[in-house]
Amino acid sequence: MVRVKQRYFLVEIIPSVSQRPLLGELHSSVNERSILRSVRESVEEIHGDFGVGATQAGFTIKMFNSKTSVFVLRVRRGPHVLVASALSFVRKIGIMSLTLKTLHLSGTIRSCLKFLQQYDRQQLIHVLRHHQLSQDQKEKIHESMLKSEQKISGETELREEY
Amino acid sequence: MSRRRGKVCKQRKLNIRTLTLEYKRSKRKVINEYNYMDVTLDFGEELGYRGIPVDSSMFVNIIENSLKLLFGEVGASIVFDVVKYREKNRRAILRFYERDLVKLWSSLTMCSEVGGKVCAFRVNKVSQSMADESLRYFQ
Repeated sequence: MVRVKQRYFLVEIIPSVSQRPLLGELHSSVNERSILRSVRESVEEIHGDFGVGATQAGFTIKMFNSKTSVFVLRVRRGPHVLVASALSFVRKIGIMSLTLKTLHLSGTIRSCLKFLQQYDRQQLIHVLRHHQLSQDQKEKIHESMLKSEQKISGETELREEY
Repeated sequence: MSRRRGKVCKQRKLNIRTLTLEYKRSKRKVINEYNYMDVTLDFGEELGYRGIPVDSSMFVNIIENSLKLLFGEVGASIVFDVVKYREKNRRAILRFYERDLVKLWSSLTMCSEVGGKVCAFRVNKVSQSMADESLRYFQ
């Protein structure tokens, strides 16, 4: 049996201007199920019964981070084109009105998450620059960044030992 | 999705001797922009079922609706013309771009009901030029 190939969409949820929370989280009605439902409705609207039938096999959300409003959507390789076009037409998930921004499309979850790491680092810089933070919060962020750097350097030291 | 080279023309024929439906298939190297399709909307009158009167605008509507149902907005954007229509037979010649052949034909296949009555689209012929279509059904 030839290998079944998938495509993984890395998508960011951008709430509409009126509802944009300030460093906040998404509404509780936005979860894996409701995201799948609204993407499926969008595919039905744009590509009809054929679109829904072609894309529903292996149509799942592999990762959803409600804090950074990012999710990874898995689709089979041929029909992923239909989902790609339908993603831009999603206007509403649950109660929230929003738009979806496709950050990355790849053949493995791994490369999606790798891209996400770089993207998150850039976003962090952006967030720190544009938001007023109290001294307390700044210290906490500084600490956690030092910790994560130590962790990485600690790991590299271990590897050098071996 | 590979591109087909050379277009297929099909002509549907009923073999009276053996009572089987045959398709005569020919392949052309030159690809025309437009294809023409000879279709009949069949309510089963030969078997005794009664159909409903369908005028040309309703005929177009039926095809557009089935395209939209099966293929969504992408299907609804498929352009086709009804070159000839005969209300008596419910037989029409459609003109469409050859890239839309598969979508159009499959949505005609999927159309099973009109105005509460069971029906089917019988595709008599698909060809690349109007000259191939036998116009005696439309006089």
